[in-house]
Amino acid sequence: MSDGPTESLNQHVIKASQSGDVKALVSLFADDALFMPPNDTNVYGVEEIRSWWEDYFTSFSIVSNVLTERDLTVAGSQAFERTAFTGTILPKKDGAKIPDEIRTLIVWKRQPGGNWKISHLIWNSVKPVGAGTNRYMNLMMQKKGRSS
Amino acid sequence: MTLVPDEVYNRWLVQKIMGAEVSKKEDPIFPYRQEWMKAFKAGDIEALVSLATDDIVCMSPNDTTVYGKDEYRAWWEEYFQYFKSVAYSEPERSVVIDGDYGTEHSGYMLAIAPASGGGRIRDDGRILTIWKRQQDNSWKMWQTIWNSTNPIGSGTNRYMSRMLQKKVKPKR
Repeated sequence: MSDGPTESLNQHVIKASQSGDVKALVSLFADDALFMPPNDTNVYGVEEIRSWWEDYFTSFSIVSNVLTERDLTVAGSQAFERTAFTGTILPKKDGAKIPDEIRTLIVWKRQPGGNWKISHLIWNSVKPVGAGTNRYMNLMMQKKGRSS
Repeated sequence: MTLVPDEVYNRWLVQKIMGAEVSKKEDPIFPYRQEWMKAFKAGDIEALVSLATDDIVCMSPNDTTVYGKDEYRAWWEEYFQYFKSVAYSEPERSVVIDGDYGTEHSGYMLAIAPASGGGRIRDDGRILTIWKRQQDNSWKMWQTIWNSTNPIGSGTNRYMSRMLQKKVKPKR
């Protein structure tokens, strides 16, 4: 076993997401990363990932992200990180804060320089269908709110 | 910002298709995934559980995390009380093997039917599974998570589908 992505890298993810720092978030991904957000199509490669985050932060800001569970296994040039966290997002146009409980599975790949980048990222919510922070659901709710 | 989704996707697809030629030899997990599919289609809980490590972590959408083989068995027992598999296929697949670990991404197309009757429920999504090589050289599922690519309110999430079943029941 060798050193893998550190706790500080994980904190970097949390900090970048809370500050809406797309550049910092995108810098974590390998060029050919596969990003799999719930109720959304696959996002292939770093350019599509950048576009996804830009779109996301047009509609939402991430208010809080508190890590509740983290399990990291390093195996050769891959590292497997499983996390759980509670988070809250806020629609930018209108609406109240939306809480969620999320699990992620992240595969990190060691780069030739020795640093680590994300090759696969998927998440889902523990919350019942219709709750949580899925962006499409919340966009739909915002539209409902605007039309009523 | 310049977005070139077709170009990115096509490059990715070509890599995967070309990779698939190699993967027949270099994808030792594929036979176990086939076993899993067969077991799921048959509702064979013991076969499903036999493909899991003792410390499996299973994260199904809109549900709490399942830790260990016993909880995993209980999850499937409950699932098959409510649903049966009608069709399942994985049109997309990529695998990375590194030592005793394998990272498997697969896209799925699925149809299930409520055990108590009712129409088929379709879903499309993807699974990310980390497999672990065992001492006897076989592979078992160690960590697995999936989600749907379909919009909220569709798909086969078991809670949603139960809600639909409940909706149907009072009409009887």
